[in-house]
Amino acid sequence: MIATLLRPDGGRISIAGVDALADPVAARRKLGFLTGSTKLYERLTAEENVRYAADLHGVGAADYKRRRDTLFAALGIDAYAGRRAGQLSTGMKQKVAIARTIIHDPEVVVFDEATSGLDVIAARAIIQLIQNCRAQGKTVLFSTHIMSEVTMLADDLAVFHRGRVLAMGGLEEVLARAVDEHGQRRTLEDEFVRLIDAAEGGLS
Amino acid sequence: MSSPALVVFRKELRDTLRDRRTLVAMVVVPLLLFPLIMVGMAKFSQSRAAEARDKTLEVAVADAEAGPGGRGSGLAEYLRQEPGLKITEVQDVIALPERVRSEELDAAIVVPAGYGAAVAAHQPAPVQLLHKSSDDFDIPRTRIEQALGRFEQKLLDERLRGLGIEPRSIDPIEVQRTDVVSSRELFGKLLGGLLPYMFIIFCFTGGMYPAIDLAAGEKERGTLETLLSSPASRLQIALGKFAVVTLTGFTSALLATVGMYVSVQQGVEGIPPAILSAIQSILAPGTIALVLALLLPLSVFFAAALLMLSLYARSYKEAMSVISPLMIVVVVPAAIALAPGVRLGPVTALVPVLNVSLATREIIAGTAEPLYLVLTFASLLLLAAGGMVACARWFSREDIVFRS
Repeated sequence: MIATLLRPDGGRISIAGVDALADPVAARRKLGFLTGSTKLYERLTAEENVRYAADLHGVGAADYKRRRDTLFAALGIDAYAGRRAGQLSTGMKQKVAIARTIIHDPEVVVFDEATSGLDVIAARAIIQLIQNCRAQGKTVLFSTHIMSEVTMLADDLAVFHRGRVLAMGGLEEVLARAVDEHGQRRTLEDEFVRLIDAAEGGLS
Repeated sequence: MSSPALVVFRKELRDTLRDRRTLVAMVVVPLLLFPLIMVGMAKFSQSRAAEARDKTLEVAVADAEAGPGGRGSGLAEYLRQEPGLKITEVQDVIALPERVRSEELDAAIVVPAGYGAAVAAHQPAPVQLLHKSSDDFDIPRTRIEQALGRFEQKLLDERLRGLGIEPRSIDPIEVQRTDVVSSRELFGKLLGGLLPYMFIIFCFTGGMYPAIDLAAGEKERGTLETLLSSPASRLQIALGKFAVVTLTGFTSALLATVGMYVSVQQGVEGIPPAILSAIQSILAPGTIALVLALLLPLSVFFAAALLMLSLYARSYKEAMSVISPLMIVVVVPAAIALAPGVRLGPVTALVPVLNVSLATREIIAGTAEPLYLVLTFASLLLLAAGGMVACARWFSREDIVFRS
């Protein structure tokens, strides 16, 4: 819904001040979107994949060159920029997908289960990217089932289960509420499981 | 900076042109099929016909009137004078059908008892010809029947002279036939039946693989989400993809035309010069341009239908299974146009595919009515526009794009 692929039944979505329901095209201009299932065009080269995304976002030639050089150098893509995506390893593909996601310098970046199914090296590249985005002041929406990643990256978090929000707030705030009957602090993972179990009990 | 639709178009075209399967269906097959068919068919039919024409035919004659004391019909002696026939006189009539069936003999002629009496009584004398219909254009049978015809004429002349009648005098009129059909019209009917059929199929198959790849394939590969989350609107994405499918379908038909035009202009070995010259006059650039003008809106319509079905499918495989049977829906109207008596008129000009097929036939034969051509073109344009609108709307529907 945030990427405007699906239309919500109700509510509102605002992306960097743009109403995503009223003007989805303008909203998507401000958005970078990467999921774990996102794939590259296998018959295009790594460079062509990234260039295609830049062209779709209307990135000018000079801006493209500048951003492409920075990203390709940072992610080590230059070595295989001219190779077709179908010939790249999973890790290489993921780096190209990252470059494609942020080539237009979006204000908001959505990572939907972006590390699921990836090896440690590829997953670490995503984590690094998210940290960079955060450092640059971008808004990052990151969904995951891996609580260690949340602890490492999140400022604010929300726990969703079956379309319902079970917990929401700052990371410290949520952790502060995660205390057992003996006054001991739970880990985020334990708190997550407790919230889900409680919700399942309540739902059943 | 380019419009997103143009960006999508350029990327999809590049992607499509790197797909070997699409290249074969779109470029290689259409470009080579016509020359190969024309050369192959011409050589094959010419060699078979020549073989059947020049072959010495083994013919057995079983004459019940011949033999000890009999005068015989004289047929065997007469046929021995005919070139290209090897006549053997036999007694065993019973074995003849099997000998002909097994192709030991090319034919057998049985002159039954009573032949002489019938001739003497000026009655029709029975003669039985045993032959086996062959795929050699039935040339052996025709050759033997022509020889029998000459024998019959000889007997008739003798009979008439016996009655004191000059054979020429029984022909009160001599019909002199002059066929005013132009070679363009004659071959136009033949070519015009076949060509649209081929062009329409190429138009369809040329766009089929790209359509499946650009919608169902993109869904399956997981790249569609990325594209849809870009600032390109659904309409722009649909237009970009749509233009590529239209272009590939039309290019396929165009290359088929080029292949045929070049092979005809080069002069296909095996086709008689008179026929080749007639075909060359039919396939003038103006005629080809007119036919291609009809194929363009048809390509647009096909692209819309193919892309919509492909987008509806959940996977490449499902799209193939949905789209492949559609080929029959396309072929049937094209085949109806081959039936005799079906012409381009106010009703047929409105039936998609059939109208292109009929209009192409009429254009090639040089008998097209401008009014019906305009009607055909207008109905195709309307259909193409409707297809484009429907396709663009299809891309905006969540239940179609994310069907699972």
